[in-house]
Amino acid sequence: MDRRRLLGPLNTIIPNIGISSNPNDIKPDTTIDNDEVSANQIQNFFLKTGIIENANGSAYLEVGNSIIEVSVFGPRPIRGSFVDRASFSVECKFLPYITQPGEQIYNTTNQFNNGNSNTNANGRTGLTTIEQRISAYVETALLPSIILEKYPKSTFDIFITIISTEEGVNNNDEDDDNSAPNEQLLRLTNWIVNCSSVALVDASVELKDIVTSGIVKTTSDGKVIFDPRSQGNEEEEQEEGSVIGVASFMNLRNDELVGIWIERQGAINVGDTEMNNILDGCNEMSKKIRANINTYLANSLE
Amino acid sequence: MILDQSDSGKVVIPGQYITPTYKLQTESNVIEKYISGKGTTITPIQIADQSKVVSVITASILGKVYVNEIQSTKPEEETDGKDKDDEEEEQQKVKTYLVVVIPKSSSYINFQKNHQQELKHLVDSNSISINLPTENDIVLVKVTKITLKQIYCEILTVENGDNVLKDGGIGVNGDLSHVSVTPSGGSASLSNYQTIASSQSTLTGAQFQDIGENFRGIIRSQDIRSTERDKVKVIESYKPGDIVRAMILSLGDGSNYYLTTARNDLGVIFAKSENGSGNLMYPLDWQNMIDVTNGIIEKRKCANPFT
Amino acid sequence: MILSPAERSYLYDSLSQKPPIRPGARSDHQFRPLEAKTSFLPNSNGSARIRLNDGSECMISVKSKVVVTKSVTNLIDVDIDVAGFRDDSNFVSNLKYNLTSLLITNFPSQYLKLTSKYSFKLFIDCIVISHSSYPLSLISLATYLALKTTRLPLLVSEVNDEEIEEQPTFSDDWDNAKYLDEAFEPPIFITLGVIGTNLLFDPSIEEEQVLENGLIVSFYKDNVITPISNINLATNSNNSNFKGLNQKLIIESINLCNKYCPAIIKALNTLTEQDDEGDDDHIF
Repeated sequence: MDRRRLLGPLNTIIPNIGISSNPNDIKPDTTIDNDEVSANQIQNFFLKTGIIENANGSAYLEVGNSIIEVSVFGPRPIRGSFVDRASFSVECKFLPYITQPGEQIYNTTNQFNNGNSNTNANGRTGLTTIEQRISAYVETALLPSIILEKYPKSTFDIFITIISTEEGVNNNDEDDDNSAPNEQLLRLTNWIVNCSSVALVDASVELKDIVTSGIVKTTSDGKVIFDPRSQGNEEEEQEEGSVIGVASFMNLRNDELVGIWIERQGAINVGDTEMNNILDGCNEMSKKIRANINTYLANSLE
Repeated sequence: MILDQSDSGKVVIPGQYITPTYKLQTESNVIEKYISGKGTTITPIQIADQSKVVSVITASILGKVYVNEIQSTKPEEETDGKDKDDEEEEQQKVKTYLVVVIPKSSSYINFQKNHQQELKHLVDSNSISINLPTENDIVLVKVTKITLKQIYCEILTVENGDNVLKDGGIGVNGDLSHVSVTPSGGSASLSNYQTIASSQSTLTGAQFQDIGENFRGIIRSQDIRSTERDKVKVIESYKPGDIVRAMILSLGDGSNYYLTTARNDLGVIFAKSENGSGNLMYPLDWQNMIDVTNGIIEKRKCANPFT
Repeated sequence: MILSPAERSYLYDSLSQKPPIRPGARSDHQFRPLEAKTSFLPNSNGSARIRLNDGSECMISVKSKVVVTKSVTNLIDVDIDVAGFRDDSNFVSNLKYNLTSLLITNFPSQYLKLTSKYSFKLFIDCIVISHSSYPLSLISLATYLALKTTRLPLLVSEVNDEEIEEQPTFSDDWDNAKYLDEAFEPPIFITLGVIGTNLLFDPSIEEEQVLENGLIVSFYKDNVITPISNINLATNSNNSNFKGLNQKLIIESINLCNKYCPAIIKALNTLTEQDDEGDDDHIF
């Protein structure tokens, strides 16, 4: 053994990991098997960063009929006691004329709001329960990705505005089909997380990794549907029962799961198979979205 | 993906692997050590199906990556002729590189140009992010209030860096920056700490600053200059409105950074006479400034930019 | 900040052991001891109070109202009040969302159906008088007890009122009031802490400060069901350990809940039975 030289440790392993940084090499997967289009294709989405000049970072995302806008502010100073890590808060708001998925279920305690979902029981404007739930999910998912230690004495604020949803504007019809509010909510949350991550990158906030998420639905007959869409006339699906889940990942950081939210409709067992299908499916979808976001970001700097 | 030095200037995305912290060049038998600089972080990456973990430097912001060798600054040791060759050889065996990611932002162009000289600075200040000031950073501040004991100021910009908050933290530019508006625009609900600030990551004691407020600092009277500290008079050193070059002593308490100007190159850079109502003044010496239009001489602790 | 850096580090290391060493010598799937009382509110259809030995206390009242089934979107309404938190705060809103979602998804609404036109609507009011750890599991266990002991007045009018214009009438004897269903076991929430590869049931406030992540799992009819979600359980703290988790742990948590939760349900059932028997201030 050569004792005069500094040698590297024995059994050195160079990680066989990572992806090419050359944006020309990263192309979104355009070869789609026509048979699998319905089951495995992710909806096309439109993404743009930096559209809000007054924010430190912003992103705008359109998918289907949903439009989401996210702006990031900070780091701004915080008062009070000394904190060695940044605080982080998320505010998610629907524009006032938008029907919030499930608002009839979750916001009905207030007899006095006359359908104005942005006013709570005290008559103050604030976030509705649904908005708070989305905010909490986004916060939980993004919290592990931000290097908060690098921003002492400060705070980050993320403001999410939902400009449009799949179901469109408020129509207070009695026969309004609100049979799958959970699914609508999860679909929306999925894209909100993706959009918020991009806004954080645009704000040059130091991140451990970009968080992306995926959404998968499994039905009681074992079907696994990627990125489920609003069903229109396929009413029979809802009779069967389905589990639907959103999961957010840091795909380049050991596929760490940072956010999970699973709901279901109808009678269905939530066993190992269903969970594995959902988690693996979400991971796969998250990777696809990540690849698209990577390409977009790399091109934006060229 | 592992970058060579020739890959400098490539675009990286947050989370993207740049290089492992240690690398062995087998053909030349050289160990390359990489240091994580600004805009990067070290990620422990698990290798599939093994419990091994490799530390990899990954990008933490969107930008272009630069890898530069750090020349050893250790003084050459006295050696006798016999071992000299060996010593030199060993010195070359470990090469240290600094990995930095520089964002697109145009104010970094200068920074990028002379980052060869700034390398040490970059390594030192790695712990705090690009925009926030940290210990030993030179900053420009604006004096907001003076008392007999200390000077209160607002931190505007970090030298060799960017503005701390180019927008007062809320992203409002232009005319609006002096008006109180809620962060998400006038239409939003009240941004109340208690309703929005979630319980998951915010301490109960923490309060948000008023909109548009910047990071603040304090210069204590004994930190104004390095000589005759006990005779210093705050009123003869700084006045509200002055732009002062100062150095960060510490992160301070919850509200203020602690700053010092006890160096020749630190002190007032811009000041207007007659409490800001007059004209721009020029320094006569280190403690006097003159308003050339009306001849008023006022006392200030001036910075000497030519040291 | 509840713990000093040294304490945090010590606790983190203890909890990351295999098996974890928990404060109070609990095993990883063991709940903290709790004390409960049911059916003590004379004006409510069902009520329950739970206290933990760390001083956490939660009170639930279940009230009912007869509604026209078609006119309401949901037959269960939940309201939560937490001392020290504003009702519109993120903290309270999320507790409320979670509990509502759990009950809406899993509550068998046929128990509330009176006639073909009318139903009972349940109003579940919950007051968290004091709490230290994340109170969702506490609230849900109390809700379990309250719903389990909820009694609704006996319907004496016709069940099939499709053709006739008749409002339901009830027996005015409270002794005839019926439980929702003898075999009914309401859904509950379990909070789990994730640290390393360990999963800790019912983390205490000290444990929450060092957890790497937190899971909320729901359990009903001997099975894990939805909603399932994750959250940073440490309230108003700068938990620097918080990070992502391995997705295998989700599967593991479900298996663990399937294994241990029936024991929790059993314990709660025993509790209601004992409360039923040896109680003198029983109002019914």
